Amino acid sequence: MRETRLWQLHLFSALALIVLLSLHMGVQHYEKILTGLGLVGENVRDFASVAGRAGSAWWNVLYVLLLGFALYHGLYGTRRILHEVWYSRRATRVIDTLVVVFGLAVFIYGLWGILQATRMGGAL
Amino acid sequence: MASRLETQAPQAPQAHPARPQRLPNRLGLKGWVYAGRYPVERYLYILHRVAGLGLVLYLPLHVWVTSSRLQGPEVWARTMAALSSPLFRFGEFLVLAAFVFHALNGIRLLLGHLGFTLGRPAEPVYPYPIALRRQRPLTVVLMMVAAVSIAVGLWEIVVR
Amino acid sequence: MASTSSRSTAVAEANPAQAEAAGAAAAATITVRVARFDPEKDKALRWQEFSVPTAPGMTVLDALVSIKEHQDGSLAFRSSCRMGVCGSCGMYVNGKPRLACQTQVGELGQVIEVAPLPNHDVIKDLVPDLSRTFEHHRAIKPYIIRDDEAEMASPTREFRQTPEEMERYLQFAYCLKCSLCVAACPTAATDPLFLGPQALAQAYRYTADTRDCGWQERFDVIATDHGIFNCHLAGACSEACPKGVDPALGIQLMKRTLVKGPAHRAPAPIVEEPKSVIDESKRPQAPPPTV
Repeated sequence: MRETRLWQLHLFSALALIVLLSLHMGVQHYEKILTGLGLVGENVRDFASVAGRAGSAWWNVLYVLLLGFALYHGLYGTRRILHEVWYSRRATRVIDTLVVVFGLAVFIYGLWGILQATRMGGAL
Repeated sequence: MASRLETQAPQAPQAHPARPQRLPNRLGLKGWVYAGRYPVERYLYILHRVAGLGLVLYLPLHVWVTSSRLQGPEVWARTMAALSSPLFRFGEFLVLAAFVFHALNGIRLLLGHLGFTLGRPAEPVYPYPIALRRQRPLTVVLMMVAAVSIAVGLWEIVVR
Repeated sequence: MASTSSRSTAVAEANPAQAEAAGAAAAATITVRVARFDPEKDKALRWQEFSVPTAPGMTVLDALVSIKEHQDGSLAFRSSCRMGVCGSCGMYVNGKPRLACQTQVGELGQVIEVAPLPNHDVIKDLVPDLSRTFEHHRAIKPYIIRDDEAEMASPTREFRQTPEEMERYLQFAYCLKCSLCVAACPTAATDPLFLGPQALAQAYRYTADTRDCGWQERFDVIATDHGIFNCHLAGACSEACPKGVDPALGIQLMKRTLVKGPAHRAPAPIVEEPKSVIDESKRPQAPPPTV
């Protein structure tokens, strides 16, 4: 049943990412069109714009959720693929451990960055 | 019956010749990429996989690069300038394309895995009903949306 | 041989043009490239070419039989019913897993490549080792599981099932265990522990059967690493299936069942005891035989 839960979370994170990551990617990559529609200001990559988002609670919640869901979804998929290539018991244990350690490390690093940036955004 | 068994001389256990070697014949990683003339979903599978792995590799890099905002406006401006070379621009486009494809194909897979777009079991009368063919219109529409979104993304990156 | 020639003479007398066409077709030959593997000598597959005279309606299996009969008696392959029912002659023909007995030579072109099924060990020449497929099939408990052990041990009557309920699993019940789907599956290309499309689709076949209530036991087998979640809906299995079983559909419906639970929670009951017996005494009797 454990694998079923992990898989269901994989599907749920996929659904969440379709919404959240579309928002993030849209703002970053469809700048001209969104500006044309009057939805965002220009130059989303200027420091002022970045710092502005860092100061907004909504954007920070979005970033934390994005980081968590993306890491889970991506690493679950990677684990599946790796298990299909190296399937010995030992390899399975090593892969699972590496995936969890890597995921936690990146999540903590990213979370730390977002929290630091919040403080910075407040200072600006 | 018993007497016949008794009259037979007990056979000495014969030393079996070593079992002839079986030939392993798995297609291996090659078999993921190409396995013959299968329909489009078989190849969307491998694209989905490649795009997904690409995005997973990109994610930690992205977290690391964007952390440079913590060091103030100058460092941020320098980082962004370094990333504005055509090579990185192209990489950025690949990330966008991978995401757009993975997300739209993912919608199809999500619906398929939960059995929403595949229809019901049918009597296997020739020509055989195949569920993924019933899903084909959705596949075509999603891939057209993906192609348009990727083209627009390319235009945005080129004109910027 | 004598009967064939006499028949063609008869045709020639009836219609010379038709006989000419038949003669031309009989004279046509195709090249069959066959993968060979001798377990006592070879370390890899080696290819051998044969030129085989064709006839209308000839199948790949017919071509192999012809080679074994007239050219090389050492060629090994499996076949039995030669009508697509037993699932013995699964082979990799021109880059696709197919039943040799159901594949017409005419649809394949001048050169036909025949190799043993991929994703299975090769025993000899075109004979694949299907034991892993059978093991996986056994693992998913491919039989009706019920609580009422007394009824199962000594059945009294049929279980109640409507035609609509039967349609939920009937398509998957046509499985031959020929393992073509496993040969087509990309996950099986690297992962020998993967239960495979054959076993997973059969897990659904029994779980969707209203007479069964063994879904929990099957969940424990398939909802594992190398189980159902290693199916990524590439759909090659369904294209390869020679009986229209559509394993990909069965597997996805099984995943749905894992999330939502089976459509029926209690197994179908046995039918009621008959309340009346038809009176046979008034039925008109057949007239006595005249001869």
